[in-house]
Amino acid sequence: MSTRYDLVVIGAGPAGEKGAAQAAYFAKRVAIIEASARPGGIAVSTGGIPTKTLREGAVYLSGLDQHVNQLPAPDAEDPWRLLMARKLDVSEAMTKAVERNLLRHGIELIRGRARLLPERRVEVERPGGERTTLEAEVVLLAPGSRPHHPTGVPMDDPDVHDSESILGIERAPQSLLVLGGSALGCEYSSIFAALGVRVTVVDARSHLLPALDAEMSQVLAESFNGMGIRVVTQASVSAVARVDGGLEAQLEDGRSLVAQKVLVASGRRARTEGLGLEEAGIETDASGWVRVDERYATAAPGVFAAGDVIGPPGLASVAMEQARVAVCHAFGIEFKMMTDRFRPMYVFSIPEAAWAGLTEEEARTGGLDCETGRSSFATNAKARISGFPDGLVKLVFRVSDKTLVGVHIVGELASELIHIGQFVMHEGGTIDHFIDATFAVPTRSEAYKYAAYDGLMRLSRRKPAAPR
Amino acid sequence: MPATYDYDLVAIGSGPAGEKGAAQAAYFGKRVALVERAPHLGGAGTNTGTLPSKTLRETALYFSGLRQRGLYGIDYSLREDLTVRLLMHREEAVVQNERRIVQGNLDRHRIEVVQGEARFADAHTVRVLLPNGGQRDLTTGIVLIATGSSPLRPAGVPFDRTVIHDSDSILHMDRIPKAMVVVGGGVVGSEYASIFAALGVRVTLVDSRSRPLPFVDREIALRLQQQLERLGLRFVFNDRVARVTVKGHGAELDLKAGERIRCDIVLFAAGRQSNVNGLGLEDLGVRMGGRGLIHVNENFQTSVPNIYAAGDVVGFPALASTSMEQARVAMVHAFNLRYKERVSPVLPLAVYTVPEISMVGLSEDACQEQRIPYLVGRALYEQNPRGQIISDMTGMLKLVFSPADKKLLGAHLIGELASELVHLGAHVITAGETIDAFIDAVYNYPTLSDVYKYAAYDGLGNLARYREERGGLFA
Repeated sequence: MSTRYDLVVIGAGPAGEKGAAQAAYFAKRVAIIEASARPGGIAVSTGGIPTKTLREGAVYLSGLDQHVNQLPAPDAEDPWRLLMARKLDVSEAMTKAVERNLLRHGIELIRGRARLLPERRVEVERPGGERTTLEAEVVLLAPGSRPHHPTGVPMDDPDVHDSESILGIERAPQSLLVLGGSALGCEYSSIFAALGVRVTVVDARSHLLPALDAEMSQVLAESFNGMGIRVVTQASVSAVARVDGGLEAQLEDGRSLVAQKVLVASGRRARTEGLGLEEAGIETDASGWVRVDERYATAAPGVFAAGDVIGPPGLASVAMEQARVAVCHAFGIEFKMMTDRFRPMYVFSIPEAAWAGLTEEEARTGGLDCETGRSSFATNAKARISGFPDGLVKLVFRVSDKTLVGVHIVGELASELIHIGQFVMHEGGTIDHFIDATFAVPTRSEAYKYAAYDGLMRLSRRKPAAPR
Repeated sequence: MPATYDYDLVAIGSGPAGEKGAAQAAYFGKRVALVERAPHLGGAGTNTGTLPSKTLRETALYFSGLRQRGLYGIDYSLREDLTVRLLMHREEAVVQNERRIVQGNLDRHRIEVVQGEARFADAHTVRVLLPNGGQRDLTTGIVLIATGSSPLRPAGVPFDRTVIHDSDSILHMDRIPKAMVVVGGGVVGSEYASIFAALGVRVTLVDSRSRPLPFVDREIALRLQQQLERLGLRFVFNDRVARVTVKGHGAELDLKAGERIRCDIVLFAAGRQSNVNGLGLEDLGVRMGGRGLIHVNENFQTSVPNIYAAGDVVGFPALASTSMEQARVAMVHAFNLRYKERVSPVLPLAVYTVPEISMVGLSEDACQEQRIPYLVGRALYEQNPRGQIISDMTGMLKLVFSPADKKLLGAHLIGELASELVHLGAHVITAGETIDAFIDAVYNYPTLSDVYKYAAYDGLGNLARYREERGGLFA
């Protein structure tokens, strides 16, 4: 049996869903194949949505959002259980939203394992073992990624978890060792610390979140320290083994760390096993990510790929846009031909971190004569009112004409506030945008203005006084 | 400017306008003194207005469980120990901190603070009556009047600061009332009415108009009204207070239409008047209008050329945000700094009701009145993943844009973070950009900001239908 579609999408996560919807919106006949029982991918099961839900709940239940004001924290007996219940509710709601969206666009959802065949044909193995072959004009590969399991860590130990299995634990541990200062590592470190767990996060690199501006990484680490998180950098874990009273991680420098549970957060890998990439003529790079060009086309004609499977940054926001752009190129729909040049990055740690454009180091390494401006949330009225004033806004701009080239925020709402700076960079705007604009008072957004003032002041100090 | 003056600038008042104007001038090397009659810095914004009410709002959201909307089954609203003292303890901490920040800013800029009552001896001399009874004359090239405003107290209302309050005294009440009447559905009235409703107080809001917040887009105001009614707030529109009397530990109000309301506390929020008494402005010939509003030109210069005025004392919109900007513009003009020559016409406004609302640019109502063609695009928080996480089922963004070129004309929000999210719309309007700016951008996931993208998609759908209805005019 064979069935013809304009588009067959493999994987119903954010990339698959939005790519399928984009094509269906432009009247294409679309099928989407998903191996799991429900669509949505890790974004709704173990990724962005659950993490953010846990984070918001942890901030509330720990009373962290009120700690400056010394208000009592809500008196929850078992916060982890409350958070898990809440996470299930939100995951269910968002899964339903994905199902509704597919239905509304008339997209056929097929459950099963997909395997690419030559000539843009896709074989689907249904849960009962029945096989169907679909023919497509275009195939969009969006199978996502899975947690990477490093060697030397006994993943089969019931107290060793990755970012997916950690959501299945019954209760929060007394102590947790997080292997990797990645986005997920930072998110879970701070969520568990907020719940009162003794957390140590260890990373081989010189600072947490290597993509983050080094100074801002320091700001985040200080905030972590304030929450009681022990941050151990430049330390490689050679092995993890069970000892009396827990799990012990051996560091290469001879030290060791002991905790009740271990969370492995050392990156992700493409989920491509069994897809038949090689036979279909699709190329991957040394790390196993699918290679695509700027149109998100793979080496196989008519086969496109988007989302985690093509590699970093591995963010749902970016995955959705890549898929929309891929579909527009595949069908020649002149609607969205490129993804955002200034796409923001974000980490839902406590406090949050977000950034867009160049870090200070990138700007300087690239030979750009740049200056910076900062404004701390400690001096921001809204941040004081809301009780959690950690962090700051940092602007990086060109000395010659004050053009904004980077924005970096650590602090609550960073993931929302970053979009203002992102827009100004799109406009090719200068930091004067923030000087000229009126910001509502009291808001955290105001910090942009004071960071711009700080930038102007630093600029005036490094140059002879401007003629008045 | 002759060097014979003691100062280049004397600012009167240490609220947002006075502080930021003084700091601006000092930053550019001017010698600045700032006169404040109160024993503490910060003005109404810090001490009785913006900050305390926003702090109370946060506390109310926290204790009522509204912030997390009871998601975890923990409810503080009936806590026995929920006293005014507890709520205000926190307010005091925030206010103290803000005063310290203002003091730090003035210190950093080497601005001399003179405590006392200011009165003009002449246009270049500010005479300060010091707390010890003495006086000191400050001679100056430029004066910035930033004395702020006070609540307007209607005649015949027996304000006693115990039962009958204005917006300055309401935060000094000693108990959380069971029943409360708020007179006036403007910004201050609506904010306090919703905060107390969130705390479980039975609130009645009386307004002579037919809806709250008349300058807010009608659809947003209606959504706010429905949400507040769900919180238990009762609106009485198209009616006025005929008589109010203190009876025992409470008050009795008679409305014009005949209804009688008994309550524990009344808040009159019937507008504000400029603090100009005692400054001696009449003698100098500084022109003023009703409620003591000082007339200024676009540079915030009064009819006496070396005297400027900014903030509440010049009238609408009387928000901390605009007051600061006005003072900065005044100083740029006064000292020819060529740095910031106008207040941005794109003015984001936030109202800290529960839920909060915000707006920038044109509303639907304004487009209709001015016969400007427009289309809208909407997105609901409940369809946004972050909206689901925080369970905000009231929130909404509405974009107003031009059908001819998709240019963004206005953005209107109700719901969590409305006051922050409005700035993205404000920047797009300032840049003269279209709603495609939201389509093209990647927004973090899950964030509320993403509602901009989905409102823009909705707008594009509405635009396609609009063009279709016009018979292929654009085809």
